[in-house]
Amino acid sequence: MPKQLTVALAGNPNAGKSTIFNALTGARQHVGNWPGKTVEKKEGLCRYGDYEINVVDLPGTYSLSAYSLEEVIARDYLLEAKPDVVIDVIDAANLERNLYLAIQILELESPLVIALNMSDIAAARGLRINIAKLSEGLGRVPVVPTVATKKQGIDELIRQLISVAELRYSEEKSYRRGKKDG
Amino acid sequence: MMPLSMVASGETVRLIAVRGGRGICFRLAELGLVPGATFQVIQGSGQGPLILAFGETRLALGRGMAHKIYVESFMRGGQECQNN
Repeated sequence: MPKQLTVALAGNPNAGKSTIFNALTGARQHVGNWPGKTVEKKEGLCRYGDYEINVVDLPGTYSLSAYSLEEVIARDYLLEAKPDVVIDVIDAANLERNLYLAIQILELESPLVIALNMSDIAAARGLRINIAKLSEGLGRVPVVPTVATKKQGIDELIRQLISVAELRYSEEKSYRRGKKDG
Repeated sequence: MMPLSMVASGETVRLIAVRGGRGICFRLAELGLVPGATFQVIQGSGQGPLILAFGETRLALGRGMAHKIYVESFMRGGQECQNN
């Protein structure tokens, strides 16, 4: 039986969540180059090896202290549904502005993988991002550069999110075992 | 230094301060509007909401909020205009 995982895509508006969603699931979710395209959550399935990954595309949000309906949907999902892994999609060309939400998701202690999307545009603008340092600064969160429109980095993203989920699972198991023994 | 609501369309400015309560400061920080943030005003002085551009990202901002944001002119290439 395939192992099942639930993964949520969060991030600022117009960072490329739906494009990554489509690259992961092979769906043809409507994607538009304007913010606020996705106003409700959408789900799709991605198979990878032994895994069946349920991908949830959330509306874009700037923070978890929700002001608008889309932001409420995104926040409530992260807080209540507790997905196995959260992918924070960051627009690499606008890195700083996107880190506010990343920190908030980290503060929820959700297992996180960062997709540094549109890294080709950032590179074209002459931005060179030190991935290792960024990951280190955020507390060793896996950071994967992606170009979702060209499906670059998607396999690596899937591998990283599986390893984060596995780590979480084994930690929980050993925690439970520890409780039983103690 | 001048309120953002006075900036003409097309100018690039740098945010100096937000004169407002905690609520507005938090919300603006979430949107990336913190002191030091540099952006272009696509649609500025006049009536109705403002449109700001951070690279490819655009933000719409109500005029009431823009009244509380103080900015200075900013020229690309590190050279600043005299506008203080």
